[in-house]
Amino acid sequence: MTVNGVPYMGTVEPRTLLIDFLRDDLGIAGPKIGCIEGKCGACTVILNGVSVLSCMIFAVQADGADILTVEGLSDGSKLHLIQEAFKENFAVQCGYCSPGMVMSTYQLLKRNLNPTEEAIKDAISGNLCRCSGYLSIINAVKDAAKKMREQG
Amino acid sequence: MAQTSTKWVGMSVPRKEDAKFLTGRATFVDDMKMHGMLYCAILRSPYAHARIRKVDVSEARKIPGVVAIITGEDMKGYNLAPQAEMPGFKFKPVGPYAFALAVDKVRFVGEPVAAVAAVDRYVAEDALEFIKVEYDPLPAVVDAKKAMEGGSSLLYEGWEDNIQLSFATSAGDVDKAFKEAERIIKGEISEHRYSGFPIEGRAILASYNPAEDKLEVWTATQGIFQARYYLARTLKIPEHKIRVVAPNTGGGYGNKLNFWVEVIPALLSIKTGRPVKFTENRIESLTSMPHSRDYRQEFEVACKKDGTILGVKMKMILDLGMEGSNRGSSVKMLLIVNKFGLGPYKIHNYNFDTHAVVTNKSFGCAYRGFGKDIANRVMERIISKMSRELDIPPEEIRRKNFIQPHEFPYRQATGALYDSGNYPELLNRVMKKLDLGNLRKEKEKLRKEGRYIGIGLSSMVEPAGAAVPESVVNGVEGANVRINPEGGITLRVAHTNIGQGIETTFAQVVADEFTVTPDDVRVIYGDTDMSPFGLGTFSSRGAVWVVAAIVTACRKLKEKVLKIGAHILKVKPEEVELRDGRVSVIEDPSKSLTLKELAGKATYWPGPLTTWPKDLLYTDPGLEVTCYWTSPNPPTSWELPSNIYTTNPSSCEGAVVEVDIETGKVKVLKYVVAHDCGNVINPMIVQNQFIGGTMQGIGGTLYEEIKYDENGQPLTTTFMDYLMPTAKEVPEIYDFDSIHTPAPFTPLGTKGMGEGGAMCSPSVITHAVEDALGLTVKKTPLKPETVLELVKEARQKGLL
Amino acid sequence: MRPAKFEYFDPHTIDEALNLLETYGEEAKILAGGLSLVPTMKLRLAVPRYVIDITRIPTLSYIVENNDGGLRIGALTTYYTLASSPIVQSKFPILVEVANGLGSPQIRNRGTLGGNICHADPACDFVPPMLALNAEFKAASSKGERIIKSSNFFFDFFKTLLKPSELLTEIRIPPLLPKTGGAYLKLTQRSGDFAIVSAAAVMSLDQKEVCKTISIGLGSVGPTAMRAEQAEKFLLGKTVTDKLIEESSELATKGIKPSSDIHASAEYRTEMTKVITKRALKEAFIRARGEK
Repeated sequence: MTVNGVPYMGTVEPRTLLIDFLRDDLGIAGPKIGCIEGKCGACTVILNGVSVLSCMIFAVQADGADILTVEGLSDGSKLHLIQEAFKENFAVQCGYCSPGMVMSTYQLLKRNLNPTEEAIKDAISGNLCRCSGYLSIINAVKDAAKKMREQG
Repeated sequence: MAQTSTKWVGMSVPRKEDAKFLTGRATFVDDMKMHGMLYCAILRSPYAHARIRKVDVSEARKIPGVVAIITGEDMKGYNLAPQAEMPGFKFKPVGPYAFALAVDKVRFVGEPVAAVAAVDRYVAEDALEFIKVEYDPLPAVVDAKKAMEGGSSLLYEGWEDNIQLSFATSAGDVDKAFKEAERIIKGEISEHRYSGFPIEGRAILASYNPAEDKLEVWTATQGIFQARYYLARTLKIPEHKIRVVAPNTGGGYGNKLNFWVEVIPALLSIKTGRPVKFTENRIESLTSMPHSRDYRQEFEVACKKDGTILGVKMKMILDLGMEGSNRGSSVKMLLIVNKFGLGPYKIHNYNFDTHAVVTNKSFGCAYRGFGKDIANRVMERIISKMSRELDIPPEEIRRKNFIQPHEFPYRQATGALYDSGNYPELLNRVMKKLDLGNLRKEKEKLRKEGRYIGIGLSSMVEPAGAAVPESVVNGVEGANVRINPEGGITLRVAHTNIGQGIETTFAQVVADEFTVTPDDVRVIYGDTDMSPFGLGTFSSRGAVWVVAAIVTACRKLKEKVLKIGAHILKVKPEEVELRDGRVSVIEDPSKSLTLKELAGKATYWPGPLTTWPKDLLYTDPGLEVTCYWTSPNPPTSWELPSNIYTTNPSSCEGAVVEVDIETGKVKVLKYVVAHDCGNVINPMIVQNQFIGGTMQGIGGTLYEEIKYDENGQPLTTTFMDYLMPTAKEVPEIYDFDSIHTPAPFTPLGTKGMGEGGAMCSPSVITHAVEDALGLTVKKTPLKPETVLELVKEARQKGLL
Repeated sequence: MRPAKFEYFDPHTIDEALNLLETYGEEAKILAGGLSLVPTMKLRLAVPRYVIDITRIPTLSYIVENNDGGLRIGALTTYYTLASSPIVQSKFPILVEVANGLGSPQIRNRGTLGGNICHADPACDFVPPMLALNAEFKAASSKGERIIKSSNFFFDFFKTLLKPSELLTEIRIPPLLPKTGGAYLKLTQRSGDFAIVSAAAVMSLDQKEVCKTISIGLGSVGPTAMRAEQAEKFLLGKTVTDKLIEESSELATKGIKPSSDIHASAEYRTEMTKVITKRALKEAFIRARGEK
């Protein structure tokens, strides 16, 4: 599979979850484990262009896939517009849900660069956050949409 | 020496740490990997209450990849160290019975019984299926009231009952107050069990190196020194041989302020000589993380017909789960309820009679409030009922009984000392935001259209900066500040990062003291090998105690810096000032040194012998200072009445809800807050933490409930059962406003605010539902089915 | 919470999948979106020896409009694909409503119509609408194909008529009459949760607003989703009014056997069946009239 543009190969048991393969085998620790049951969204990655819960997919199912995680958006020295918007809107606190939130935002803006507030809430409804109460994150997504519209 | 004016403190500086979190480059414990690392899986009790007859791990040991297995046998002698010691507070001991892996008895479903260390997570879990445990089940104690009444099976054989602590306080003349009352109003409230459940569960990586005889533990915790201390006491290892690190903690809210899970991977690591990582899964988290709330109160208030409160009586039974003193310290909650149950009101006559019982459920411990939330309920529930029975608007009752602004510092009848505040102003602001007069008219109009909205109000005091004499919770906080010769200032603290933005807020404080920018300051935290001592991240000790230690350390270091600067510039110390990051001669600013230049000269070249003034050179020639701080507010001995917190942030909050009277569903339309946490370091960080707390309170009132059946079997074990709010549950409108009454007992006037958001919102929402239906809520949560019952009751009473 | 070991197959054609099912049927589970299967495997409640991953079979994902206006939907069609299909949006908007009210984007990107139906959880979102739309399902095995009516397909909690050697390959939805309105409503605590109760109402009217056809599918009211037949009979052939809808909704509880769980009691579910049915019928009526 290709992850953030880099091709990888590995041999795993069929039962190895994609999230464990990414984190333990490939050392890509951006996607997090929050519940392992598909309810918190911390493990959200983009697989073949769409956001998915990597704890609900076996690594073998992603054979040949193209995966994007939060590390693929920026290396930290220059933030992606979505990440910038999160920072400017104080949408990060403990940071554990942030990678998943960013990827869900990425999915939303890929499909709709002018989302309504309803659409934004729906887009991140699968990502639980306990620290923020979501309002700053909703503002961040609105801002990210604006930035990306302006960028063209 | 002239102090340049505050530039950074008070500003919403974007957080320095965000980049690492947003790009997935922040290290949480489960992200860590070490050579030879093993993964730990824990076998847990399927019974709520049972004796362990036999544990057989022989089959499990044979599985390839399993390196070590430990059971209660290996824990004998390693009783969990007590965490709630307080001489003035006599609770029954749990120590003789408390072990990280159950030795002869299990007392809740989920209690650890055996632990496996294997080469990967999958093999470790496979091995669990081969461990055979024989149990003799015992009757489970699940109902707190029954536990209180006695006759139920004993959790701890050495105790005569299941009551861990009874604690009562009173002041004034309650009997007289009730005799003189024009009205006596009674009521009750049962609040259910729920908790914080941060998105990151407990995660621990323990690494014992036999060649160094050193144990290193990376843990998602809120108190590195407490973690080290309790680990040392439990495992009987001298503390200097242990290092505890909290790299980044994915949310805490108090749920990670308990110290016992570390023992398991630590012991496995000691046995194997290899690093062992344990990451709790969500079922483990929901069933064995500390639970909170879960109490029943009966109250009586003696008042005049005009709403003046003459006296209050309250009786409470708190369900601690299986214990409140050796895994966490929830017995202390009784003390806190007694101290702060009078809230922001002037009440001179009171009697609180509180009891904490043990039951076969997960242990209780901290979750944003730690008893201060329960304390809030006492008066807020009373005022809500009073307003309906006396037909006086609830805000009028509050106004009549508030402690007034000119009365601070105010010694409450309970002994608590409230430092400063302006409760009437907070109430005014909320009433204005709600446009209360018009809103009430709107409410009546909507009723005629068949729509039922309700308006809720509540006032809160959030004591912060805990310091309880003769208990573990009065430790000092320290800070070390150093100026580096090739640039920049480093600050080291024991605090842990649980989302409060300490890399930014602490940097703002240091930046102001040295007239530099936050980018010039790096905050190093959470490592017992590097940090000066500090008790931990709880009760808003960061903004209160750590900031005070930081400021004190900075000012001492600044004195040195000015002396050195003056010496180098060949003037007297009183002739220089620190301005824009430079030590400059006041009369001739062209003669100056940047901090970097000064530090370079003073450290390396030409070096301290020529640059330091002689008096400092031979006493303390280091360009760093370590300072410890303790609050002058709480007293130094345990006696009643006495204070136990340093500051008193406060708020008034209001909400508008709509109740669907056909389904019982409650929707929060609007939520408004007027908040006071004294002087604020970073307003946006404060606001967003508060909003997070509000949503936790709304979640706790409307959606979240930890349930057990009559056999002590947990019914809420996944996020499909335990429903936490998502983005779709946020109120349509949220309005946050603040005033600032500075704290008199902290150097910057900061009060902290970490717990408040979750403490008051349940009272507000409950009141709003009551207002919509016209009757009193006696139990929570307010799930649709429960609210529908209330709707029916209201109909029967002709209120709808 | 990691699964036990299993053997994995990923067939690339339907025939390959069917041959695998023939061989391993009883001990195998089909893996599609994984949203129902994977959690149970992680809890080790399901420990299949063989897992047949059908997600690499491209011929199982399609939406085709027949000449008569009905739909054929491949079993692997995701909720997202369904909701964003122009055909579905214009001809069967009730399915869009279901898909968008379900879970979150991550769930919708992966969850499949076939998976939702075969899981046969009485709270599954698509089942009541399938009943209300009189859908039929195509089941294939290495021995041939058969069509099963949705009204027969579900017979108990998590149990369908599919044999271990069979694979659900296609969902067929008959065309709707003109002046038809459909609505799907579910009562939940939080948006997007599993239903406490749910109702799918599909109603068509004649020129005089007389109810020409009506079907009501109810979810979370018993071991399987079911049709509210008495309520339907009551409405059929009558001029639709709010009062008629209310009276009809009272009958929706006939024959239901809801259970109690931590989210709701059976009594509450029974009462809410009336409320949700009423609301779904009102909405379906508005839509049948062409109003919005």
